[in-house]
Amino acid sequence: MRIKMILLTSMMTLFLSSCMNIEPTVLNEINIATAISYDYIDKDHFTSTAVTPYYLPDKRVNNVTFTATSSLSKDVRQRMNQQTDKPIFSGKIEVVLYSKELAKHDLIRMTDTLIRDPSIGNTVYLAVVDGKAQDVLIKQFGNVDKGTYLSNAIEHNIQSGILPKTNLHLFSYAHNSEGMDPFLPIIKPKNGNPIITGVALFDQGKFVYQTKDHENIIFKMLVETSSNKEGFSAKLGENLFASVYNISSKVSYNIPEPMTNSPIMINLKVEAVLREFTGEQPDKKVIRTIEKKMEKELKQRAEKLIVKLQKLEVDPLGVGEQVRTRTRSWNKDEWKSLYPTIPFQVNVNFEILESGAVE
Amino acid sequence: MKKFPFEKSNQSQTPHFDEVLQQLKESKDFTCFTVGIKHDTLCISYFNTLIDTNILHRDLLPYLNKSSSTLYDAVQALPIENLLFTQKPADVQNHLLIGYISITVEGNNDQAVLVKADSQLSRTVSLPEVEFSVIGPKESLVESLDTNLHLIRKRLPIQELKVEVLTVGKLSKSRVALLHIDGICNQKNVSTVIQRISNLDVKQIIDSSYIAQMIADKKNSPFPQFIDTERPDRLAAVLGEGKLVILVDGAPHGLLGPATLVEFFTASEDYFINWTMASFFRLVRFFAVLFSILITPIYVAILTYHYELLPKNLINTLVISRSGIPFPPILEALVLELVIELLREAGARLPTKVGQTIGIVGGIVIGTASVEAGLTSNVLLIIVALSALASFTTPVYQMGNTIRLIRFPFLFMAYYIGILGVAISFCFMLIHLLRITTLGRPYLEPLYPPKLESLKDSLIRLPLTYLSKRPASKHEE
Amino acid sequence: MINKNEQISPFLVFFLVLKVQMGIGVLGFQRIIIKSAGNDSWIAVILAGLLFSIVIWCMLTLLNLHKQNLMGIHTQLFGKVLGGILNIIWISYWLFMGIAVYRTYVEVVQAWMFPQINVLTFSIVFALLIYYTVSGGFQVITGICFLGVIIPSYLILTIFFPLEYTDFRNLLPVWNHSYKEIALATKNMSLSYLGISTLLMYFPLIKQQKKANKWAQLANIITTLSYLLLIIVSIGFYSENQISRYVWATLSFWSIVQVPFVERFEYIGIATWVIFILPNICLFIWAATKGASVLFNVAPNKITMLYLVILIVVSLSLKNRDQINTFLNYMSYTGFYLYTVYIPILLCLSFIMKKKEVMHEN
Repeated sequence: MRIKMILLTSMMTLFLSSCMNIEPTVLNEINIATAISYDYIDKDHFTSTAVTPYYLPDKRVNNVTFTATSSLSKDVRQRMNQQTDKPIFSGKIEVVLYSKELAKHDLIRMTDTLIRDPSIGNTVYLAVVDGKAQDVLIKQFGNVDKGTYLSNAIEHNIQSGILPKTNLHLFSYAHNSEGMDPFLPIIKPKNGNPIITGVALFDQGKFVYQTKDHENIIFKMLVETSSNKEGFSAKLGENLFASVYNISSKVSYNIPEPMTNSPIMINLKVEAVLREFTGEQPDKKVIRTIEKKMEKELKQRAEKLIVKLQKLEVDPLGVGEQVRTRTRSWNKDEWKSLYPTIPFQVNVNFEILESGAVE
Repeated sequence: MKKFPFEKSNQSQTPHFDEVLQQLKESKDFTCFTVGIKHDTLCISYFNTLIDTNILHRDLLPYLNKSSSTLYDAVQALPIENLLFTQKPADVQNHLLIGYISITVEGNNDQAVLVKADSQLSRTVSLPEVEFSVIGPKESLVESLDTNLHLIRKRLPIQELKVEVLTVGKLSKSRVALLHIDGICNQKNVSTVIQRISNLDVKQIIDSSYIAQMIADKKNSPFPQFIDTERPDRLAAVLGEGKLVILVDGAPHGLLGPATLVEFFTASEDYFINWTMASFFRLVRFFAVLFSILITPIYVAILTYHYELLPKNLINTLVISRSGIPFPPILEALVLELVIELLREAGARLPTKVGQTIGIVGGIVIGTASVEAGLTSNVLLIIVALSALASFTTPVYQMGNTIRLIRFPFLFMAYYIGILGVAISFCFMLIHLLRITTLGRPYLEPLYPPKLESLKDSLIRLPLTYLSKRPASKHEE
Repeated sequence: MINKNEQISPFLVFFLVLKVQMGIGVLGFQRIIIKSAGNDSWIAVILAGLLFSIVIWCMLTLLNLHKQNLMGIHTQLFGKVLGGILNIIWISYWLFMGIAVYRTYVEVVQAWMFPQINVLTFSIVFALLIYYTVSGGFQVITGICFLGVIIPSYLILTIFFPLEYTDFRNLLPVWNHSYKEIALATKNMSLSYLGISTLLMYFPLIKQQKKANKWAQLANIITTLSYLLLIIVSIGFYSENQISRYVWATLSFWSIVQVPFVERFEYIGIATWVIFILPNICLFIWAATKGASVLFNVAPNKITMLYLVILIVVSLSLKNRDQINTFLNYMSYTGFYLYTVYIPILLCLSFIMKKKEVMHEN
C-alpha cells in the first residue's frame, strides 16, 4: 500500500518534473562570451562589444564579435542575440574592458550590473582601454580565444609583472571602503595588439590618472606585498646603471598620530638580486653603495608618486584604510580634507641578496 | 500454494513398502531385484543413477549371505557403519530419492533397511574464479554441501562451531546449512535467520542467492544485504568475527551476514597484504564507486545547465568534442550507458572466448566508429567507459550490479534539475542506506552509527595487530 | 515506553545540535550583524554563542528535572488545555521553522542557479525526500544529521581560497562600537543559532541523558567557532559597505575558489547545501510531527504528509524576497523570545512546582 503510494507520487513527480521550467544551457548550443567591452557614446548610451570563441573541429579558435548600442547592458544582450544563431551567455566572461572616455564618467554604474549578476564570477578582470575599447576585441590574432588571451595577459602581469592584484572583487572592495580608491590596469591597443601600459587610478568611480612607466613598479610595491620577476633598473651615476630582478617587497606603515597632519612614515623593505651592473666587479662595498643608491632612487620615486596622488586627491594605496584601522574617531570627510596636507616620509630598506653567478 | 499429486498421496494414506516401490518403478532408472536368503527373499531397490554401484557390488551384494535367516542377520554382516532401520514407507521413499539402497523382505511390510550409497559426483575443489587473489589460499567452494562444510571446519577445528541444517523447497528439498560460532555470534541473529529460512515457502532453492533475496530485511532494495562469496577462507574469517554463514547444497557460494555496506568493499586480499597498501586499495575502491555513480550524471548536469563551472581550458576541449553531436547530453549519456550494459550482458552470456572478442568489438570498433560518425562525444565515451570500469572494482560482484543500476536515477535527476538533482538523488541514496538494516543492524555501520572500534577495519584497514579485538558491532548482546 | 532501537548514544547529540544550529544562516548571516556592529561583529558571534550555551544549559536542566519531552512538561505543569495550547504554539513554531529553512534555500537556488525554476515541482521532489527521511524514524534523522555534518565538512577547505584577498587590518580598531550596537548584533546573530529547541523533543530518546549536556555544549562551541572563522574571514575579505550589499556573502566568496577542474565553486556549494539543510528541515518536521501525533493521537506519517502539503503551499505563496524576509524575521523573533524568555520562565516555574511538591510531602 505504502509502496504503491510512493511509486505513484514519484511517477507524478517525474511527470511534473518535465515542467521544472529550467532553461537548459547546453554547452555547444550557446555562445559563451569571454570578453566584453564598453565604449562611450554620450551620457546615456554606450556601445558594447562581446567576443565569443567559435571552436573549430581542427582545434582552431575563431573569435566572433557582436556589437550593439544601448543604455542598459542587459538591453545590449538582447540586441546581440538578435544577431546570432545561438543565445549569448555571460557566465564565463573573463575580462571586461571600458574605454577611457567611459571611465572618465562613471564606472560604478557599469560594474554594478556585473556584481548583481550571480552568473558572473568575482574574479573577472576589469581594465581600462586607452583608446577605443572595441579595437582590442575586434582584431583576430593568433589561434586563441580573445578573452582567455587577455585574462592570461593580465594574470601573468599580476604574478610577475607591473600590475598589482586586481579584479572585480577588489575593485568593488576599494570602491566601497571608506579610505581607499580603486585602480584598474590600463591597456593600449597597438595595431590591435593589446599592451598593458600601467594602472588607471580612480577617484571613486571616475578615472583621473594613468601611471607613467617609471611609476608602475613603485606603485605595485607600495600597494601590496609583492614579488616581481622583471625587476627594474636605475641610473646610479654617470654611465653607471644597475638592474635588479626577483624583487620581493614589503610595505608597512607607521602612523604615530593618526587623523592629524603629522607625518606618516611608509617603510618599504625590498630584497632583490643584482642582474646587470655596468660598473666594476661588485664587491661588498660596491654592493652597499648600489643598495644606498637604489634606496635613494626608490624613495624619490615613491615620494614623488605620493605627492602626485595627494594632488589628485586619490588614495589607491589605501592610506585612509591604514589610518581608519588605527583610530577610533574616524570621519570620512575629515580625512578627505586632511589627506592632501599630510607629509609622507618613505623609508626604503634595500637589500641585494645575490649578485648573480659571478663573484 | 499448489499441492503436488504425490505429496497428497503421501499424506492421505500410508502406503506399504510395496506400493512405494511400485510407484518408483515407474521411473526407468529405478532398479529392483531380489536376492534369496535362507527363509525370505530380500528385495533390493535403488535408483541406479543416484547410487555408487561400487558400494553395491563391493560392500553389499557379496555379504548378503545365503545362510542368514532373517533380514536383520543378513544386514549385520554388511561392512557398512550406519544402517538405517525404518518402518515408515515415506522414509524409504525419501531416502531412495537421495541415493540410498533399500533392502526389504518381500511380502513383509514391517521393516526396511536403508544403506547409504550415494555417489559423490561433484567437482573437485578448485581455484576461486570470481574472487581470485594472487596471494592467499586458493580453494573455492564447490556444489557439494559436505565438501563445503569440510572446507570450513578444517579451518575452524573448535567445538563452538555449530552447524544447523534445514531442508527448504518443496521440489528441491535443498539442505541449507547455517553456521555460527557459539559465544561470538549474536544468538538473536541465529534464531531470526532460522525462523526466516524455515518460514520460506518455495518450490526450489537452486542457489544460495535465492535465500539471500528472500530473507533480506529490505527485499525491495537494490543493495545486497548478504555477501556472496566463494572463498572458504573468507567465510571462516567472518565466522570468527561473529557473523552467520549460510551454505546451500548445490550452490558454490556461501552467504554471510549481517553484512554492512563497507564489507562489500573489502576483499580477502586486503588482509594478505601490508596494511598501508590494503588501506590505499580500499580507498581507491570507495573513490571508484563514487566516481562511477556520479561522474556521468555530473557530466550531464554541467553540460546541460552549468557551463559556468568549467574552467576556461576545459570548455575548449568539451565544446570541440561535442560540436556536431545531434543529441542533447542526456540522450547521449543514456545511449552510451546502455551500450556499455549491452556489451556487458553480451559478454556475460557468451562463452569466455567469444565474450572477449565482443568486448574488443564493442569497446574499440563501436566506440571509435560512433565518435567518428559524430554520434557521441569522445569525452563522454571516456567518462562512461571509466565509470563502467570503476564499477567493476567492487570485490563483491552483486555490489557492482547495484552501482550500475543506481546510476540511472541519478542521470535523470541530473537532466531535470542539474547538479541539484545529483545532490538530491545522492540524499535519497544516503537516506535509503540509512533505512536499510541487515538482520536488524544498521547497514551503514560502522560509519553510522559511528563505532571507533570497527572503523579500524572499514574504509581503511589498520595493521592486523590492532584488529586482534574483533569489531565491537559483532558481538553485542 | 521508548523503543530501545529508537534510542541514540549521547555523543550523537553533538551532531544533532551542531547540524541544527548551522543551517541556511551560514550562507548570509554576515550582512545582518555587520550592519549594526561592523568590524566588531565577531564579538557579537562570541556573545551569541555564550547566550546559547546558557540556553542549552537551561533546556537540559529543565529536561533533566522532568525526564520527559516538552509536550509532557507542558501537560504536567499547565494541565491538558493550557498545556495543549502551548504545545500547539511550539509545534507550529517547529513546522514553520522547517518551512522557513526550506523556503530560504529555494530562494538561494532561485537567486543563483535557476531563476525561473518551478517552485511547485521542485518542492514536490524535495517533499518526497523529506517524507522518505522523516518516515524512517528518529534513527534515520540522526543518521542524516551525522552525515550532514561529515559530508559537507570538506567545505571548510574553501576558506583558504579567499585568504589571498583578505586584509585582517579590517578587524581593527577593536571595540569601536557602542554596547547597544553590539547587543543588537548579538540579538541578530542569535537568529543563526536557532533550532536547538528540537532538543526538547528528542531528549527522551538519548541513552545516557546526563552526558548529553557535555556534547550539546561542545556542539555549541564548534558552531560558535565556525561562525567566528567565517565572520573574521568575511570582515577581512569585504569592506564594510561592500558586505552590506551582498545578501549571501558566503556564496560570494566561494566564487573566488578556483581549482583546475572546477571554477565558480558557489554552484557546488549550493548543491552541497541540499545535504546541509535537509537534516535541519527533517528534524524540525520530525519534532512537529512527533508533538502533533502525541497530542492528537494520529499516525505520524499522516501528519508528516499534511505538513509537507503545508510546506509546499507556504513556499508557493511566498513570492518575493520581501515576503520571505518578513516571514523569516517574524520566525526569528518568535524563536528568539521563545528561547530567551519562555524557556527560562518555564525553568523557574518547574523549580517552584518541584519545591511545592517537596513542601507538600513534608
